[in-house]
Amino acid sequence: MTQAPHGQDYIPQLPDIDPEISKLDPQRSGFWTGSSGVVLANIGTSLKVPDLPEGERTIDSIPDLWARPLLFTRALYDTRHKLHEQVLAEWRGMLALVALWETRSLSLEVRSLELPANPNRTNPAFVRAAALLCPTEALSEDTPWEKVNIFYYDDRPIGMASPTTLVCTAVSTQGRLDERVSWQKGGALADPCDFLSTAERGAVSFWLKKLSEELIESLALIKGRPRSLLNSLTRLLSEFCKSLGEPVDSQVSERELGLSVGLYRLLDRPLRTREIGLQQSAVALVPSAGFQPVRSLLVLETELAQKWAVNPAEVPVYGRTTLAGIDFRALDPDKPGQIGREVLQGAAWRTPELFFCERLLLIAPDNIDDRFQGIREVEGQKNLLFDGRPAVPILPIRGELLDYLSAADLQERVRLFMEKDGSIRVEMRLTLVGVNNKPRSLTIKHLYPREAIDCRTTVPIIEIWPHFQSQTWKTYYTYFDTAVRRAQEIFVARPHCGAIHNPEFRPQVFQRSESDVRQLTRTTAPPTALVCTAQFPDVSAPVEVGFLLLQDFPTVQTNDAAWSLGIDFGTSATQVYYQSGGSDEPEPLEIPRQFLRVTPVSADDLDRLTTYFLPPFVPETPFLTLFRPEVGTERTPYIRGNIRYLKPGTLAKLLNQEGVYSGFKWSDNEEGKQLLAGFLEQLALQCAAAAAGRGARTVRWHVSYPSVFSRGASAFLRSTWRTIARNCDLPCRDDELVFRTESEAAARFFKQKQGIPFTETICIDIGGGTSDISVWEETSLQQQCSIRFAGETLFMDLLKAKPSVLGIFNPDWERRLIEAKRGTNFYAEADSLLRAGREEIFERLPMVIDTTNRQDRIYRLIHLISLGTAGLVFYAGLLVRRLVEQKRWASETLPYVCIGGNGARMFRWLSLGQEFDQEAAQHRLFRKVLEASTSLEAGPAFGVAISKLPKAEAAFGLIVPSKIIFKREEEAKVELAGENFSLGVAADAPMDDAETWKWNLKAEVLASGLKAPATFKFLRTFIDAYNTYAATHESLARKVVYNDGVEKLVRDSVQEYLNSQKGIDEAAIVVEPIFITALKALLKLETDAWVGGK
Amino acid sequence: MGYYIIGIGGSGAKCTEALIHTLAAFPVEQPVSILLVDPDTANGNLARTVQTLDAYVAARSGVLGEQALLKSFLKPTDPRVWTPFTDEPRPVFRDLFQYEFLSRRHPVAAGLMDVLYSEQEKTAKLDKGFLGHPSIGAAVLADSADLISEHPWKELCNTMRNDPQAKVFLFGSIFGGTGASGLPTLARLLTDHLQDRREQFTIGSTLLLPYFSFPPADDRSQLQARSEEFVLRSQAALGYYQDKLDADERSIYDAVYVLGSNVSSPLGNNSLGSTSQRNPAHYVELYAATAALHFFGLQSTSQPRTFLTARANTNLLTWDSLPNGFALRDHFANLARFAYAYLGYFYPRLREQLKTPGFLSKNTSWFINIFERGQAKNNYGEPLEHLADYCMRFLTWLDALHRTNDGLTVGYFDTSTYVVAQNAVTFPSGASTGFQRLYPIADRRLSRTFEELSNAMDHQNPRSLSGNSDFGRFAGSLYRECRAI
Repeated sequence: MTQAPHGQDYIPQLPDIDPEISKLDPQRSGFWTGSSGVVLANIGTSLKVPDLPEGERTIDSIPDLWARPLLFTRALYDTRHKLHEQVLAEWRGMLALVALWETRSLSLEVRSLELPANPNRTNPAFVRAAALLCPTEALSEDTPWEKVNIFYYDDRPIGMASPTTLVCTAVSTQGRLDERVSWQKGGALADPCDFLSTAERGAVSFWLKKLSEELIESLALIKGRPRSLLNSLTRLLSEFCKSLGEPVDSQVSERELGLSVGLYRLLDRPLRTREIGLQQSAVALVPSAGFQPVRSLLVLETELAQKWAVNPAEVPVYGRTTLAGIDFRALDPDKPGQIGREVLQGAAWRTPELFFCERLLLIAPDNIDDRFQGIREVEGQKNLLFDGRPAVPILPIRGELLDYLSAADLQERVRLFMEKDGSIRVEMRLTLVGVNNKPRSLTIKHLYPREAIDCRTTVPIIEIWPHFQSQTWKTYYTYFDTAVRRAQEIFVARPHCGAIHNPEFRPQVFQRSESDVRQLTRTTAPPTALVCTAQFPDVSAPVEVGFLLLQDFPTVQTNDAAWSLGIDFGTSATQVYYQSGGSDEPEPLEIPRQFLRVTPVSADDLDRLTTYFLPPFVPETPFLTLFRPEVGTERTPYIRGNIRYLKPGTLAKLLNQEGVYSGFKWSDNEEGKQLLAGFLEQLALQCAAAAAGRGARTVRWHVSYPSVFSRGASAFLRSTWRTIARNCDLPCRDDELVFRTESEAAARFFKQKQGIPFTETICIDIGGGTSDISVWEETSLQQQCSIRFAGETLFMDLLKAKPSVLGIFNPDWERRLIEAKRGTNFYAEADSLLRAGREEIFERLPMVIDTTNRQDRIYRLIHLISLGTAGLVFYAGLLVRRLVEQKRWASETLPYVCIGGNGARMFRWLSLGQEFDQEAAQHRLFRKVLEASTSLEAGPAFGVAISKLPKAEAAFGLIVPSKIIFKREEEAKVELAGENFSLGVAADAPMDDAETWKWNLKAEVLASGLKAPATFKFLRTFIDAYNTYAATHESLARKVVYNDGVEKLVRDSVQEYLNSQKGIDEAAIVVEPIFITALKALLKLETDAWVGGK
Repeated sequence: MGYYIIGIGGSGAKCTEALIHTLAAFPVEQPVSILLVDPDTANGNLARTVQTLDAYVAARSGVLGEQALLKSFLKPTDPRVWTPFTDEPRPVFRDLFQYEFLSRRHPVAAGLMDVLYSEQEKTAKLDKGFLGHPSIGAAVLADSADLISEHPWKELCNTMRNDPQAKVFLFGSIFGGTGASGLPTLARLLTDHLQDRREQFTIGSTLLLPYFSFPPADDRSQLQARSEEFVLRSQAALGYYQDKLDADERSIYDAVYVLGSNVSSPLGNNSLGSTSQRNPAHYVELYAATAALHFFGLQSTSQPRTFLTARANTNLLTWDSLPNGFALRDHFANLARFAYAYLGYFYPRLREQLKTPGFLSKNTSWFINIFERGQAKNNYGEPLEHLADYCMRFLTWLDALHRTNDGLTVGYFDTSTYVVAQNAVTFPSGASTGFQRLYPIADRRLSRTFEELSNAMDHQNPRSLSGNSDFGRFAGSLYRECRAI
């Protein structure tokens, strides 16, 4: 209400005026009273104005296209304006944005537009209208409104440069800023003072002070209203500085925003960022002790700063980026090496949700008593139920984290919570580097609703071998087998070894069908976890579902013990003896069970382990030399295939259907060599693991080989063993890789184990494929040789020729033999059968044989065994005979005979199931044939001793203590021809003109082409001796008919062999003495007669 | 010399309506061109003003003569209403300015639009006006008003260009949408267009501040004017106008008349434009009309001036408070009494006479003198109706003017003497008494009854009556007898 001059009260014909602040002159009623000056402004400021509605940040009443900057100007400079506080906050916020865009990695940029001075219809309508209505008021003439500079944030306009206020915000910035601009409220920029870090406040204050000084300098000469505006502007800048605190000297960046017009240039360069290295990143995950991951993980959590109660700008992330500068919405999981413009070197970012798998898989086996073994339980795991049944969770955390945190750490950090509604909450506590390198924790969470949880009741087979850890051991295998279960019913696991990386070993996958998938993974450390994937009906590809944490493997303390391991790799069976540091006597090595069986598996499942991996039992020793190669695998033990062990009490049958091979010791082709190498590699690995598991630090390998091995086979064997020794986790020096002939090794056994004095001794180790003969005098090895005339030829071939002979003992055995004949593993399967039935056979042998009937099947079988073994001993006698003739044999009596090897068991047939000793009737047979072959007479000490540990001899003998080392004579290796022969096969070649039977039949001689003799002198001698014995009542032998016809057949057979050797690679030749070839032919004729019922 | 009235938006139209009635009562010497501007051509207020203007022009053509009745020469433009949306049935801001095209071809210009306008503003449909957002209207009007080639701007500008002393006056509010945006924008476009003739014309405007209110809309998210924000908006707009007055070398406006009310009249409904936006007349609009009259008589000065007025601090609004109220009072009284008598007594009789010839001829001398013995005999039907139409509009407006519901009482006339209902004015029994009470001034001449008025007309000398037609002479005769002064 105003007072009229004449005293009457008048009310201005205006909205309510606030009398306290009214600047209006009194008005008269009934008149229009005019005046000049700031009347309109005075009316405005005099009005009683209500407060702005909550949240309102603009008043749209300015009738101008440029209403926003005009309103902004008035509200900024008019402290009483209802929008002053809001606009002031936004103005400050915008200046802070311009100052901090580099240090905060803000996506700010400027784009410019120049409005036409004379707009016309050729201009776009909006440009024309903007130009037509362009304001004129400006701080400086060189900063006109026509030169428009728009601020874009992440490609969205958020404001503009203003000729009156330097910066001005857009009508709306809602949704155009991201969380990096922390100084915002309700989508609008806010006063940054309360949001910036202390360091930022000091720096921005410095920047503003500099801006203010430059403004004043630039506009020193202006007058009038621009001067008034400048004063207001510098006052506001000064107040802003005060609000921020003391300026802190800072550097200005060389980077430019692109403001190149007039006063805007003063805003063009922001504060410079201090770059930080990865080491200073507060959000880097701290790995567990001993972990040195290839790259660091930067954990980006939107609320991390809040949780740590620090300003996001105080949390350095990488390069120029702080937590405040991260646009979380723009983080692209496909670009983990990039944060905004920062390209991470040696690091990748992760947000918490990226650590968790999408689904939670629970395992609740049908049998609730079945338990996982060796896995670590996390807090809350015991409480997990699925449909009321206890369940084991696969921790739904990405396997990647296993490269950073140990299983033990993870076990401590992960917790599970079962919610009432069936959902499961997973929490994980991470340790990050923290601000100023003060480690801080960050707990991240993920809730799995019921629909994200799956439960399975069946499991795959998961076994890890060997289940120990030591300083030396670095070879581990994880076996995974779907065991014929559908992928949707189980899960797939691969091992992870914590800090150890195994990039050189790729998992080997063997898939026979969709539900028959095996996977074998070699690692160089014990797995610490199993990373799991699973298939779901609604997803085509397997989905990562987390991992199972494994308990630490039992630690074996290594000692200084060096283990000596003797490997007798036989044609049909293999034996290993060991001697640890402290023991004197070698002992047979039982290959231990060294599994960690992770998943509960059934008995049926265990068969798959035997078939495809390692036996879940301790194999009997010796064990059959069987190997199942995997097709298309890399050359690594186990992965190349596996030794096929037989469970005690079971028979080898249908091995070829399982892809099992035997008899490869003598294979000279590539496939055979692969089998041999695969077998020996695995055997050595298992032996080494057994040694390491008992604390061995080093190992010495003692390897036997038949002296008859071809040079190629011998070289390959040696090469294979050198490779094994080199790759073995337990070191073995070259000079500790000892090769001995099987004959020598067997002799050592008899000397050490059976106390044979070896003054004059013949030692014959009859294996499956070879018989190794050594001749000793005065503990000195005089001669030794190896001939391919052993168990398979002497005995197995008889069973093969007439399986019915075993049918007498057990009709099923006959059937099995017939089945085995159809396959490729007859000897192995027959051997298995005999092992199982041996005692029963020998027990019943005296009952089933008709010793009075020389046509009796068993009788004839024993006759054939007798003929073969006697022939073998006869040949050994020839070795002595030559020594005698060469006057290298001092004794005048027959040497003692030691029979060892698996083939030694045959001698029990000769003694009708009883131990073959001096009392056995057949003992005389061997004396006779020896006397015939050596021309020596048997002394009172003569005897034939059979090994008490058949097949153990070579393995044992390999590692007997050095104090009984025999004198070695390399020249003792011979291949005595045993019968005369002629050089060359031409008709005019001299025949029987020399005592060529004494020759050592070298490969090169054989390759030159030889001619069989017209008469087999020593064979005849042998037959005569044999027949003399056969004529005796208790001989269990038959007279051998050897006439010209028979001799011709023998000769043809010998000549055929000799012809087959002519011209072939000498290295591939396995020398066979002519006497033995002839003996084999004779034995064949006798066998054929037996089979033919003659 | 000529006067040029531009009524912008709803309030602008209502002020123009008030001015038409004022000029009907208070003759001015110079022709008055009238242009109405509104994007919402269906606006009820606009329509009523256009109808009033047409009614005035029609009525005036029937009563042209020497008498003071409807003396002012009002010249509606052709078309009477200019809208920026001739081609756009449902215009949207972003489409008008081809935002998509801009984004592709002139992205920074699109960015500028994003800075200056909210998404809601850009996507608002503008067929019902600028919805309380004058920044939208300013841009639209600036772009669409083609003063060179578009009707009626072309003719209006040409007339002004040839007028050595043109006086242009704009009506509009500064707190709404259309008026607020048009007032400065169209004024600026006009002055820019006639820059070379700037010394030949003066330009003035009302700046209407809030004087009415309406309840809040149900949907507050909708873009529209909110009366609770009127004062806030006015304050901001006044600051803008002040800046404009200060900043420019020569102000766009030579004179600004600021008006409003400390008590807001509730309108009772919240209408988002269109035909439903038909608000009753308000006395502030009459004040605005007096501002125009004042401006017409204002001498040009180099400094822009701002005019204010006041009213007595009572609840009764009388002629004392109205600028130039005493002069206007008698002229309005003349017109009001004429309209009352015409509609209440003479119009029905003349109408009946047309229906039933001889109805008046036996004992009504003025009828016989003017019509029976006149030039056109009884051929007065059309002007009879035109005049009735205007009189009815005038009395309706006058009635509304008095029906304040803001606590004030308008004491200009006793409008309870007639009843306005359903676009018709009726007179209760004892209309003569009402006629006597309509203008409550104690004067013998004003106490006549209709019969006495009729008798007085009987005694007039037909030859002394002026007018171009029988009906004009009749109206002049009646006006003379009804005059209060």
